[in-house]
Amino acid sequence: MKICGFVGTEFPDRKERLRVMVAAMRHASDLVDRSFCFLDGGLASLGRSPHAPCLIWNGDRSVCLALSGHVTGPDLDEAFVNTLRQSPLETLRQLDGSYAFAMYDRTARSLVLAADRFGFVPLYYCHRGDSIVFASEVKAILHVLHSRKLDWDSVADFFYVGHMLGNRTLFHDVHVLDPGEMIIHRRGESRHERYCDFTQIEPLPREKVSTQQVASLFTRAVQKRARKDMRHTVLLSGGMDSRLVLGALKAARITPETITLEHADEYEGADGRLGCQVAESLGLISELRPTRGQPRYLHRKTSSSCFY
Amino acid sequence: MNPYQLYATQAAPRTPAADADFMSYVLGIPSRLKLNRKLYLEVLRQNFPELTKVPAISGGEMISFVPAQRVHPDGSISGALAGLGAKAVKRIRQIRRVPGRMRRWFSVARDSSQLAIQILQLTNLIGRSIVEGCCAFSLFSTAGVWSFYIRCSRLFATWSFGTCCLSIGIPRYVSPAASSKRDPPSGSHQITWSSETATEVAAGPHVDLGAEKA
Repeated sequence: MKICGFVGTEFPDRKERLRVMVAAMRHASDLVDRSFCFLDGGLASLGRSPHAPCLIWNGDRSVCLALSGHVTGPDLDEAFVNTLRQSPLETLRQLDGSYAFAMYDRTARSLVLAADRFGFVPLYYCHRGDSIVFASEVKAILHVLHSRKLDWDSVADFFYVGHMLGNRTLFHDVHVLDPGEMIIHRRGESRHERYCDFTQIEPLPREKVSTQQVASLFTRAVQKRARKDMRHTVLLSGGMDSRLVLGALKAARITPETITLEHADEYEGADGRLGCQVAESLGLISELRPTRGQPRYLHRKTSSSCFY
Repeated sequence: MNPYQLYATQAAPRTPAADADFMSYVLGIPSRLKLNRKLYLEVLRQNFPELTKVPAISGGEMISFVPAQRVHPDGSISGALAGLGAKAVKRIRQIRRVPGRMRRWFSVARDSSQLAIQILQLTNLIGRSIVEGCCAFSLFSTAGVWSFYIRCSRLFATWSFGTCCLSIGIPRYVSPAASSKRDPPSGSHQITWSSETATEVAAGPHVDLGAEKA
């Protein structure tokens, strides 16, 4: 199963630019040329998935939605594209999951870019004059930009706090969509809107906080994402996050396999050891893998599986 | 780690916590209820008890799911200090009765593990009382425990219990070099996290860094 990437541009010579961008993103060996779809609107989708739709059209094929990631909630079909076209903000508020998408309306010549409310799936963009270039990987944009200047403030942020702040990237003029942000680009003008902002959530009173509710919501979230036709693999550490995922999967009557990374040089390998002990205590198939020397292992082990 | 970037072409990454309903609820929970992983621990204890048999490691600290045992029956800091002092005095008197060079084989260093545990327990007790008093200072952090422990060890060194007290050897016991020679911790044992490494405690009292007073 492939999570699709996509690229797009509104430059006049967009077809040539799209070829360059797609070539830059062709890093998976099993992706072949015929799985790229070039559209009149300047969208190209990379990869083809039998399970998750990556390109959705409306009836007269004037609107195309290229989606990357995983969506829970409504069916991703023609009706969804029409609804999104008519009222993007309201539709996005009801959409759940981890995704990024670009929707191009050929008749209105408008483009909608959106990222999920958590910002998990990155979508990069760059404005050049009236035009916009976007891609799910920043290197595709860099291949069509004439300048690749570093944003030294972002570089400083990266080395100081471990990541870039705000919507900046390491490169000048290349930005990433904020969590819950939407860009509507029409006739050379871009409008940024936010459809979700977690910082505006009101605090709950203490009497309404219940651990059972937390566990129940989390288990339901796991159930929504689990596919019964696929294997399930949990990257299990000695911490509490992956352990909670394991508990929720068990509550949903799903038996996953586990992979534990050894991390022998951190805390004397306690992380890996505890992860294995958790798997053993639940009677799960587990593998403790060294973190050096076998970099391709995860590739083989996780193929065609839901990976938590 | 962002699985959507790392494993996007190999698998279908799932991040269940990235759920609108779940996040809307959890982000609304006041942070004072989540302090020191309290909420996390309670969710696991009450809803997934089978996952609490093995200690967890989080943010570089070992976390035991077993409720903490009090150092002293009355649970007070002064009581705990008194108990600790009484034990040291008793041990020193025993050692003084050992003649000549044999004395060093019976030094308090052999009991240093128990003393180190008790100091950590005391730290936990003080930290808990501070947190319960709504002070924005955490002794639960590794750095806090370590600095408190240093202070305690200095206190022991300055107490005039004679030369035996100087041979308590607590710093050597918890140093990474010393603890790395020990066997790795197993699931059936309590594990206490010192400043830099895990130290196995075979039995008896342990430190619950995440305990919450009901």
